[in-house]
Amino acid sequence: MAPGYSVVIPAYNAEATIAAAIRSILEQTVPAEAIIVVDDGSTDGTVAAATAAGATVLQQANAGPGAATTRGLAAIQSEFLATLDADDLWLPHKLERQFVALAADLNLAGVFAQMASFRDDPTTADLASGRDGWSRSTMLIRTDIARQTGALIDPPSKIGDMIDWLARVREAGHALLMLPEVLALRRIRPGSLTYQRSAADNAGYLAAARAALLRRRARDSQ
Amino acid sequence: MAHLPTETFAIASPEIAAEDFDGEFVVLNMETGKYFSVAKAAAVVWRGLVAGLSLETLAAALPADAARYAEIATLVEFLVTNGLLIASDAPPVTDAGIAADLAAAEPQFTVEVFDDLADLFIADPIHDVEATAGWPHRPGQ
Repeated sequence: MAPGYSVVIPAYNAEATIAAAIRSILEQTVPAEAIIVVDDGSTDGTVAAATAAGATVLQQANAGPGAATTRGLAAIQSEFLATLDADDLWLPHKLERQFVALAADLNLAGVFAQMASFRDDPTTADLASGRDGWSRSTMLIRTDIARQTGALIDPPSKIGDMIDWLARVREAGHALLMLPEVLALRRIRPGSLTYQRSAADNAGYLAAARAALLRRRARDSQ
Repeated sequence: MAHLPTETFAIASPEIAAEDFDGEFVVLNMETGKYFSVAKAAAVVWRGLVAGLSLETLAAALPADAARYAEIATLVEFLVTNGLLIASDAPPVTDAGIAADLAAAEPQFTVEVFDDLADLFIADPIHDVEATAGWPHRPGQ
């Protein structure tokens, strides 16, 4: 029997996609013990949509996806934490596959998977085009290690919190596995065919790199 | 003495991002996932090159020292080789303050490169979203 897991979904103005995200959790072959949506100060119908879809909803003033994930992490009681972005989806066997991998290597702290993208219809996603997803939407991690790692830090751009946090997990010596299989789907919003990274997005990545540099120097000076 | 052409440079591509943190530039190559610390005198050179100063102007602003001329050439070659800067056709600009900045900086041309976050940077999910939709929507900005 698989260990228990709870799912945390940080959500900001996600009324159009949150029900589908929750449905993809309810369709897991290994069921979740709890589904917690942390509403990050949405101004749309996210709370109503998440509640109707069957999630427990926590609400906070807008603070960012990292802060919302941290809030959810503090609220769960399961042995494992799984996370999902409010516009993404899991494939039904995601958790089953990840727990098989965990059972095969007890040293693992967490398991990730590849993601494929879709625009409108998830059934059109090309599962052969998966890319490694070191991502909130693929993460399954031991709750105690997640808590030891501390809060997810949102950079001003609200982009890059997972990079910083996963870097901290690894620096603490914990092993994370990337499964070479697509187990989650990333939604590409319509109307953004020529999307490019913005300066604000870059600022989040640069903040993560700078934080890693400072941690390295602190370690080296010890 | 190393040959220093009258050359200007520019950030190589939209995949390169840089930010000044208290006089140290952190430069990220999103294509490779590597990030760089460009510090001390090298940070002044980076700032000058990105602002459009020529290599010749920067070298001339250094205290007269042949060894340091070679160092600045080596630094720029490293930045170009790592895909951070490319040669530019733009006419050089001038900056009367650059000599003072170089004199004030610690003299080392310090550049470090790190790849410990490369897999995370390369894989990070940037959701394609419209400006008015959810994340990465930025309330109040």
